[in-house]
Amino acid sequence: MSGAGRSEAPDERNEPAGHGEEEGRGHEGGVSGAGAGGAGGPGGTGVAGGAGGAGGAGGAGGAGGVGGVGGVGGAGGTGGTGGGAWRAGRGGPDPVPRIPTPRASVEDSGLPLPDLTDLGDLAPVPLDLSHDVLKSLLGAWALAACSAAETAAVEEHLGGCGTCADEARRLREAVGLLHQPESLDLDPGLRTRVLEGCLDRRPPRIPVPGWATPYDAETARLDALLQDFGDAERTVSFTGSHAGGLPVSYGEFTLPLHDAMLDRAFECWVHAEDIADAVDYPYDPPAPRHLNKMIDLAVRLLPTALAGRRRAGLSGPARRTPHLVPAGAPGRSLRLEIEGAAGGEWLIPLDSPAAVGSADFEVAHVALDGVEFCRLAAGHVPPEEAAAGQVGDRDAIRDVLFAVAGLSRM
Amino acid sequence: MARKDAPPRWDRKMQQRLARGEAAALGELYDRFASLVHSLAHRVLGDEKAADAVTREVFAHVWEHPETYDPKQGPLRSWVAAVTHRVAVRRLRDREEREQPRREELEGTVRRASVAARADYIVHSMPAPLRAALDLAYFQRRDYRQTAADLGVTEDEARRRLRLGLQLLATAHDTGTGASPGYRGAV
Repeated sequence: MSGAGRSEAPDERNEPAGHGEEEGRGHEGGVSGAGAGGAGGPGGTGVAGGAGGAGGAGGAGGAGGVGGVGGVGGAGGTGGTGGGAWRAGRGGPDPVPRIPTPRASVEDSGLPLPDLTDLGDLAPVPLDLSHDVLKSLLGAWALAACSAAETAAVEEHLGGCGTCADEARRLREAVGLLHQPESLDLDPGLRTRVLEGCLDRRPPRIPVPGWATPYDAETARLDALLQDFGDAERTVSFTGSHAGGLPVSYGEFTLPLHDAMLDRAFECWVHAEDIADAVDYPYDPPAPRHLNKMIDLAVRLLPTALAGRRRAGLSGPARRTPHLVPAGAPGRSLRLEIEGAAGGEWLIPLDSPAAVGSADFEVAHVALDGVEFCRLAAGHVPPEEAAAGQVGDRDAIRDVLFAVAGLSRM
Repeated sequence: MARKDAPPRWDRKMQQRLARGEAAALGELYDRFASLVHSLAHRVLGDEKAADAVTREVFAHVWEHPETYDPKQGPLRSWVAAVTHRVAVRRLRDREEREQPRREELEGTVRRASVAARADYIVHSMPAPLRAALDLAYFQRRDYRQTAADLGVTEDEARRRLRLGLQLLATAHDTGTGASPGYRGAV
């Protein structure tokens, strides 16, 4: 790391420590340099050149130092300049290797270049490129998107061509203006505060209906996630005022629109979480009051799901005869306790959708975390593995957990 | 950067829906621009709480006065950026007046924030092929040959796009004229 040839670093992006994206490419150059640098062994800087994988700058230093020891070592140094260090090419002895290689003719032929890592010590021959080609490479060079050999050629050229050097400096500075797309990691509470502040100052003429807010929030979050990945456009507007009760067909059954929207919100979250998981992107569960409504919907669907399981013969064989009661009367019930901010307690009638859940006829008690419950309902956790605290009638509990897991297929 | 251009039609429609008082439109506006607003404000003011406050003020302004946006003057995005810049700089000056700052420091902050805002505008208004090339080479860390292959263009063309894209972006450093028509008035 003598830095002999690096006297003209145009800005902070050329510091030896480098930026992440530069180090990545520097490695490419460093690999090809490593073999040749090892051959040139004796020079202290040659070792630095050989280790150039850590950053292009190390390779650049190797070019000057090792060139004096032996031609092959010099080649190793040149290979290490891939990191975009601005090497003016004036700092050391001539780095040209003694042995000519076929590399230059490949360049001249215009054919695609072989992968640098396959070329071993043949790679780092300086290229003889015309001024126009070198100029055309400036953008790619500024972005550290050239091959190691091209980078070396451009940097050598910059030492002698003022016009290109000026443009190179300008383009390098422009790269500094590119930055990651704005982070989505805004305080999630900020959205609510901002929107509420707005609506206080100017009440909306067309409010978002209360039953649509979980969907609105979930699609907004899914939208933000997808936007981060590149493309999405969502437009939801609610200009009607009495739409909430309209039935929405699900094939076998219908849900009122407000429940259908909750269901969509739930699906939105589940799909977004799948996407986020796949790319290791942080994605939180829905706001507790929305999650609570989603759980409530699932719970309201459960008696029907249980009846469906009975009809399909899926309820356990050891199961007692259903304890049938008149419609609207209290029936055998399971207490579902959902923990966490979205939580609550529900009594689920076990034997008929027409019965009413009742604490007096409670036969079992299941406790589950809200998010875990939703994962179960989404079919992401097998019912046998759901982390549920359970007391009471094991068959009833098993039946309910399987019915929850079956909701995703309704 | 990775986001697609919002068509001007979207801008006009959004303005109409805001003017109509549609709360869902406000939510969409927030989802599209909150991170832009917050990051610009943060760049000027350098602290999270102040950036939150600017975000509240900017959206309140847009919600209360959607008619002050003129689609003919440029995209909604740059107008929102301009409003943000104005609000953030005013807040910065207020704060610094109280704290007796060094004047050059203040101007330096404002200037850097202006350059960043112009850069944002340029990135979002440059031709899509240039942006796609920059996106690949910078954010996806592809070299220009891979960039060419990804875009289905020649290597010459990939080099040309990268260079031209950066040349455009570099004009963000040129103060005064030309860089951002929708933005000039507010800087």
